[in-house]
Amino acid sequence: MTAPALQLRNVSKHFGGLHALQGVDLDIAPGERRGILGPNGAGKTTLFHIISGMIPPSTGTVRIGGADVTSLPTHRRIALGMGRTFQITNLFGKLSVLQNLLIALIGLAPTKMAMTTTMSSYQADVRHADQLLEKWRMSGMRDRMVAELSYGQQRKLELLLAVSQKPTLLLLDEPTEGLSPDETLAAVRVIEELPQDIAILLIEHDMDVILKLCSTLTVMELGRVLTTGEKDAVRADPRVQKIYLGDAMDEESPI
Amino acid sequence: MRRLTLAGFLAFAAILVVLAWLLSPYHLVLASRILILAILAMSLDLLDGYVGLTSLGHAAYLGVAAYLTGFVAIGYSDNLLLLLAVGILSSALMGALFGLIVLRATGVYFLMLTLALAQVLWGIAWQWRSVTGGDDGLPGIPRPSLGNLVFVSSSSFYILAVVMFLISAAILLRLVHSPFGLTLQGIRESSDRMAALGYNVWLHKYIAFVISSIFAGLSGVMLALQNGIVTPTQLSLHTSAIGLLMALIGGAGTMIGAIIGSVVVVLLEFGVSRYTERWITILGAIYILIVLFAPEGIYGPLKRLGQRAMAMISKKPAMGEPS
Repeated sequence: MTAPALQLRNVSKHFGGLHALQGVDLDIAPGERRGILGPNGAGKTTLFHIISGMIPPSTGTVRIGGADVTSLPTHRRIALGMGRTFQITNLFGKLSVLQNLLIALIGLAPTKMAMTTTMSSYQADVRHADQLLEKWRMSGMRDRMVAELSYGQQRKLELLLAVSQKPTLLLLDEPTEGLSPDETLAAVRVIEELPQDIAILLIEHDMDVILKLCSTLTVMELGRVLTTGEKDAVRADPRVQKIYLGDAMDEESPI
Repeated sequence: MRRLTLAGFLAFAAILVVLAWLLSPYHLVLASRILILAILAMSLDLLDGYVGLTSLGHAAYLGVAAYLTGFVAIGYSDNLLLLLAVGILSSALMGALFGLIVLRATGVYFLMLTLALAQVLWGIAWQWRSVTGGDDGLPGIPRPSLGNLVFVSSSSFYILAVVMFLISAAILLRLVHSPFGLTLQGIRESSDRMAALGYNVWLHKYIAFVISSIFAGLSGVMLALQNGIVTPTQLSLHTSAIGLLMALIGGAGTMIGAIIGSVVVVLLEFGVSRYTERWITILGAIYILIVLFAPEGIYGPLKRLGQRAMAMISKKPAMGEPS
């Protein structure tokens, strides 16, 4: 049996007296597409920070592909197959699309420490980048400064950077946040087309997006996991309907 | 394109060398100072323009190298290679030590920490009279020698400054265009994203900081040898600020801007200080004007002008413009 792409055991996080997370267990199988739901303050963002290594948990362990990464910094977790995007797009704005992608491509290679040869002389990396841009239909913006791209294009590039490192576990923090309906559709299509062996953990407020992309859901409330399961079963769970939907029932009835 | 850059660099080098026969001794002293301080400015540009760390404490690395050059040259040997080794090693160690402290912070806190540590060294140099000579400094530093070569005349010392400057410029220009240089720019733009792409951000910053310290130290060695004296001024905020202003006035993140900045500041220093002691005030005013009207520094507009001129000559649209 292969190790889960991600495994959390009894993870808690306290900020002073505030219990942001309490005893969270989470198992993501290789290639699984899992959505995380929960009202504001449920602990979704804290959970993401702990998985990605931006903050340490107060108790509990985090494993990526079977390896205990609880005390490892972010960059070491990336080397073990994790990739992530951010809620707020923070790409390398003053660099070109190609340079952004090259930074991602050499991020896990010894090339990144090379000081005496020019970046452009690494033909294989540049070719690899061009192939990826071609495949993602972004060749036209290859030499444009990233800050000049539209928001939707930036989100797409952000995804490309993470995926170009061939992660086994991808954390997506609201990938369609701030996108127009058309751009959202396009983003969903891009994520759907990602290789099936990438496990994805998705935080997303847009219910259509999460239902389209994920087969399993985890619902959180007040720092705890309320329930986990197949999306239809979770949607039918009366506790979920009561607690998660709350007053939103008469608005759009998202589930 | 790369061949063009190399040709440009060699042409520039040739012009610098030829100047040794064209300039008067007075102007050679001036030109040497420009080249020596340009090394300091480039070292600051590496941090400020590429990594996004603004240091107001590079006098520490320049000054420590300058003082050690003074001690060795006065008391032991005037061998150029030895002095360079001592200066570079001492500034590297100083940078490696201070880097551990200052890189815990970013932004204005980084700036304050670098300033504070440099001021500590300045205080030591000022107070410890028995060793450093206090505010009298260390006078009587001989010009260096290398075998039969003695760099006493202003033209021979100028050539030495040209060589040191060209070596520094070549290394630093190469560095910023390398993969490592690209990662530094990535850190400047978003260190969180760099971590999320597998980079040990601290390590890259630390290496850049030590490299930057080394070039500030090289500048310090040459400054001590040119002046023949080291004083606490070399360790003072004045030195740190001048270097930083050169990098910013010329245009941060270009390296060439640092050189232009050094030309502007040194000419101002020599030209204006003849008429008024407040040349620093005028420098400050110029800096404010540049921040207001050319926030990318002098080099940016100059480069665009050059590109337009090239385009006119070759009747082709300038780079980046649609045809």
